[in-house]
Amino acid sequence: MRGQKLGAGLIAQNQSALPPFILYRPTSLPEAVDLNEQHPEAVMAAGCSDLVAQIREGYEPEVVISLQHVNELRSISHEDGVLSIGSMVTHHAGSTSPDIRAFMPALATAWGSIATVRIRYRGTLGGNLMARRFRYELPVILSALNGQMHFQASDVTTLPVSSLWDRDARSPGILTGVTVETGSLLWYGYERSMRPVSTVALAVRRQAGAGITVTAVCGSEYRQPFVLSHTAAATAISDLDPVAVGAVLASQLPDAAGDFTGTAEYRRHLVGVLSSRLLARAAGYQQK
Amino acid sequence: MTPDAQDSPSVGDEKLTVDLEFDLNGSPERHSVPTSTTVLDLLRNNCGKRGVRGSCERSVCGACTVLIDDVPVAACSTFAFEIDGTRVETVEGLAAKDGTLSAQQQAFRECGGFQCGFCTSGMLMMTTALLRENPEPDREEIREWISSNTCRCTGYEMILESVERAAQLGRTPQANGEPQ
Amino acid sequence: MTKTPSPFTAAQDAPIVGRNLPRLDATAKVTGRAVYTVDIDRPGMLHAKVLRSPYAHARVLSIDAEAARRLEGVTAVLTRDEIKGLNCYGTYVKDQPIVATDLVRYVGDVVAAVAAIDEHTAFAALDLITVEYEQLEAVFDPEAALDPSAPLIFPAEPFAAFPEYGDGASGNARSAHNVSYEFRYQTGPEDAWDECDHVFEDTFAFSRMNHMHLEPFVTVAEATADEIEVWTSTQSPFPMRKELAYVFGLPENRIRVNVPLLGGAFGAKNGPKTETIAIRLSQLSAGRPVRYCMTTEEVFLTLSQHDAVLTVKSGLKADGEFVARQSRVLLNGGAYADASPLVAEKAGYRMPGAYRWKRIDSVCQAVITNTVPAGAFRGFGATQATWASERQVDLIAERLGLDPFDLRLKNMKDLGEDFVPGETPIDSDLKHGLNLVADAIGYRDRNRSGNRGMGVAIGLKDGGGVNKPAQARVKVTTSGDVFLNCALIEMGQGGHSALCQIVAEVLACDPQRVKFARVDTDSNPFDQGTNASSGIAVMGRAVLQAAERVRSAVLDFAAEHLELERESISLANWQVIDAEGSSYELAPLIMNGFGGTGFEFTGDGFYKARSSRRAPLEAPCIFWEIGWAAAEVAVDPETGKVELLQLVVSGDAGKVVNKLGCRGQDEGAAVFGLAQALFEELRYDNGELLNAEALLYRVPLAEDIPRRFWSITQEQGHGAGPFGAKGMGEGGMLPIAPAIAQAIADATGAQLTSLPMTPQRVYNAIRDAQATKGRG
Ligand SMILES: Cc1cc2nc3c(=O)[nH]c(=O)nc-3n(C[C@H](O)[C@H](O)[C@H](O)COP(=O)(O)OP(=O)(O)OC[C@H]3O[C@@H](n4cnc5c(N)ncnc54)[C@H](O)[C@@H]3O)c2cc1C
Ligand code: FES
Ligand code: FES
Repeated sequence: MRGQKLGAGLIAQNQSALPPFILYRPTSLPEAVDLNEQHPEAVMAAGCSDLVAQIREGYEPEVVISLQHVNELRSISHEDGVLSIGSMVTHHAGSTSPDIRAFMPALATAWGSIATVRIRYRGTLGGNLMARRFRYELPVILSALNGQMHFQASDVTTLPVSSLWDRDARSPGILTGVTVETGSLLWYGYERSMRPVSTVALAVRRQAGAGITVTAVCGSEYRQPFVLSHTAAATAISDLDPVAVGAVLASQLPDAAGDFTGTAEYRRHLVGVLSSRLLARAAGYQQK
Repeated sequence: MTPDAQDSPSVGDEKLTVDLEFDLNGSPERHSVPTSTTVLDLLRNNCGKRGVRGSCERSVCGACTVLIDDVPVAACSTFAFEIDGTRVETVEGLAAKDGTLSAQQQAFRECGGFQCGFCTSGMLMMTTALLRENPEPDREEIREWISSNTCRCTGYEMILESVERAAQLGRTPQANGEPQ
Repeated sequence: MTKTPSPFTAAQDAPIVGRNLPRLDATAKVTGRAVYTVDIDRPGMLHAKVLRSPYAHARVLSIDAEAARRLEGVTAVLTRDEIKGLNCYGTYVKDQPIVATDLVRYVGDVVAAVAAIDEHTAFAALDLITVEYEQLEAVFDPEAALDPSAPLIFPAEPFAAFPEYGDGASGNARSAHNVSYEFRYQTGPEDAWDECDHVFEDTFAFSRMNHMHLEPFVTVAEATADEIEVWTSTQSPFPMRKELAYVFGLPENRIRVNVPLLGGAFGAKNGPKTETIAIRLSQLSAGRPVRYCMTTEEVFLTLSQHDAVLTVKSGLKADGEFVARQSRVLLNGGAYADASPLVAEKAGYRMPGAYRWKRIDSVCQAVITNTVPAGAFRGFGATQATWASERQVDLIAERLGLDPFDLRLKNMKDLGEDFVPGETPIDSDLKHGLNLVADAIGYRDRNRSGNRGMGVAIGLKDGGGVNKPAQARVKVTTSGDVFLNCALIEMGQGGHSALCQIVAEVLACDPQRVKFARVDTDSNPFDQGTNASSGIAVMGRAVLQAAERVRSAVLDFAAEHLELERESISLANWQVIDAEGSSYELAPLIMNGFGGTGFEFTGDGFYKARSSRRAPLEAPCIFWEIGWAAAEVAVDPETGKVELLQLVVSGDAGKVVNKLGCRGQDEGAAVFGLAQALFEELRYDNGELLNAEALLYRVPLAEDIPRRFWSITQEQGHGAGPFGAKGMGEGGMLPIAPAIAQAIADATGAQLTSLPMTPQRVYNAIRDAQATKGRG
């Protein structure tokens, strides 16, 4: 549904009645960037599954740049302890990628667990992030990993995934991909069994100096993801008390996390439980 | 954009139509359609494939599922320009030219994997894609694939059985030829 | 004990022809050739779009649609100015106008509609309409709406007409502030309460779902001032025709309702949805065809289930014998009455559940609120009543330290026992079914370790519609090709196929030879609608009679022309078989007998339960539709997450006409129940509907179904339908949520009283139970 243009009510817009748009189908990234420069109002089309929803909510694109044929955006690589994933990588391709499976199997597992088979073939990393919907999971999954988004316009911008909701809706160019630093990562896990009430992605990293940082990101249906973090003077995950750390993380969840599907209090409890379970798994994994 | 823009073929020198060539159920198709046309509208209105159903029109229910280069896709949420140069399959392409039902169709028919039938075209296309990817899926894999689409009528169990049966029929073609 | 007579005991043991075969509509549906209303395309067809209210409650001060009217490609604009002199619609209470007049009553109420050459133009025209609203205070909660200080949503009293009930029942429109309809039922001596050693009162909350039929509401209309023809997705073509005649002031024979296949309905497609707007726009567009097809988002804003608050007071003897029950049910009817009066009637009437009481006293009020209108929804009235009734049995069992299963069996009615005086006696062995499902999941020797638990529950409803008549016609051509002509709507339940099988059974022919004729009110005999699981039990009887009459006529004709003893001959595969077993081709005989042109033998059938003053609801019900279920869950006490390990559902088909059909009805209904139990709901947050959209509104997927899920179709043989059959389709939904709730209690001690049983609710209930245990 969308608002009527004079404020007189609601209209059930559909894509069938969308006026035609100017369509560009670039075949290289420079071409795409160029087109985006010429048409700053243009919208990127990736898997289009969310774009269609936006149209039904009233969005009328005048210029569409389809990234379908920009093959550079489909690359995945791991170099110097950094995993780079192109924005046009689909959930299916990402979760089955040999590189990701080799260097970050837990990310592959988490990625392969979202949405449905049909959506995983279509939906892309870029679309999942740039749709900026609270209920989509890659912002949660990648924020916990301290993922960085790379945009290309006339210049290059890098922003943490966790900053998705900090700024206005406009993308600072084309999202080319996301990078994740894997060197200091000790453990990663994602818990979505309580979706849509709460999901928790949790990463454990070794600090450059000393100590261990646990980053948990709590996702939910109607509220933006919350990043929770705790640094302990430990040397191994097994030194951490999962329940105590879970409680510390949970206590950081603000009252704003409460919504129709769960009060802030219940959600804090849940995040504590899920985080401590993930940490217990992490400790078990590390012992092996 | 003003309402009458639809009638004008172009904005400035930009064309507002796309020319498409694709393969539909084994036959070549050529169309020139407005850029904003969806695959669902193209197939139903321009190609006469009324077996492709539209419901939620937002990628959720899968009633409109068709195969594009073997991959199941929601036709409602895919623009026609995206299928240029691809191979598209709909429910109409499943049966043989002489009307003999495919293994999937026979199985859904025999196991009652439908009620109102509105989800059936999409369920059959999901089944087709799954069995191409893995001709011998187990229950859990079938469940995972069928969980892509919504059926409000059956409660799913009979659909899961239909997919299992389709896999079985696909392996033993001599089991085909059920009375219709 | 009075046993319901089964009129067709003779045929009891022989399976009905086609019983184990695929449904007759299978091939059309698996090839994509099936035609639904969404597929109807008329030459020169226009497209309708509507403008909906952004406010829950507001006065419409002015509407200016001039610019919209002037837009090229627009053929008609419909506002309150274009419906002057036309009537409002609704099942008993006629309160819903074609478009809003002076007030809008919920977010989504239609304010204006446009017909144009294409959808794009229609949207553009809607965007040119200006509306001035004056916002009014709104009320969303039924309890709050009853308060005299709450805004009155219908300042003027709408026209209402409702049935003359029989013994103990009464109905009343506008009985209280914002009440559209109130139903009361009482039976038994009031002093029964004095016998009670315990009296318990509990309150339960029932949630609200959307029907989510995959085919949206859709109509194509061709209408002038004198004549209307529609192709529409409705469950009830004849009531629709009557309603349209009333709204538009036309004779019924000037209105023709055609109904293709329905892509699901679940109760939603009763009464006008898209019809009146499409018709009026066509009238205003010089009779050109107008298609009005809602989007799924609009379907969410058109009709829903009734959420309810149910307060139940039950009195028992010390040993657990039930004595008296009093209940007060508040239904959230939403902004327009729609089928609310019927739902109120059923919710009130079904509060006794499967149990024996000396005294029953129920009142149910349908309350008007500024939310989406609520209407008929699979199992309506019974879903709400069963949740409260069954749940209270569990609460009582816990308080008295009894096993909930034993308490049920102790008080459960026997086969043939009266439900209430004047009503059809119970026509299934209820205890047999309860034991069946309990044993199926291993209830008696269950292992409750690991926070596992099991529950067993039962729900029932009077089936077959209220005082419902049905008619059918069967025709056979010279060559033995058969037409079944009746207005039963195929919406997924397999009704067309089952009725064709009944005809084939009587005429002893292949079911494939029976064609279900197109549904259209000009040529079909009358039917009251496809609802209340009435297809087999009521229409089936009419079809059976029609087929039997055809068979009789054919045999009379053959006996005369072949000079055979009428009593000695029979019919099979369009041949007459004599006593010696010789067969005679009918086709040549008919050609000769009718002047060389051939003939069609035709038989009409009619069925209706006899009306009775004693029956509380005008007539005794046709049959009792029963649902039994047993569930096993594992609960995570730390999170409140419930995992459904096993679910078995069972219904009594009486006699199975089509196996796949029966199974599908029970399993489909059970999954509605499962979803309502655990997660599916329309979420209202302070009046705002949060999830009126397909992605946000979660319906069950295959992954939500327990790995062990199955149905058991019983054939107890006591049904009043053909061959002892009963209706199916709703019963399976009734016991699911209560069975799951009981299983949760069995596992954790947590007693849930609100649906859905979300993790947070379960978690809180576990904590409450632990706290109580700690104190006690
Ligand atoms: C039925 C269903 C179930 C789903 N379930 C889940 C789930 O369980 N978990 C989950 O996480 N997600 C879920 N999703 C979302 C899904 O995973 C997709 O990621 C999402 O729909 C968007 O992906 P897309 O590639 O189709 O994006 P598009 O629709 O193409 O794009 C979405 C937005 O991102 C912008 N955009 C896309 N790419 C770029 C780029 N490179 N640079 C700049 N802007 C860009 C577009 O302009 C648009 O505004 C679900 C979706 C559906 C329909
Ligand atoms: S209609 Fe395309 S997914 Fe529902
Ligand atoms: S058969 Fe009706 S939705 Fe699946």
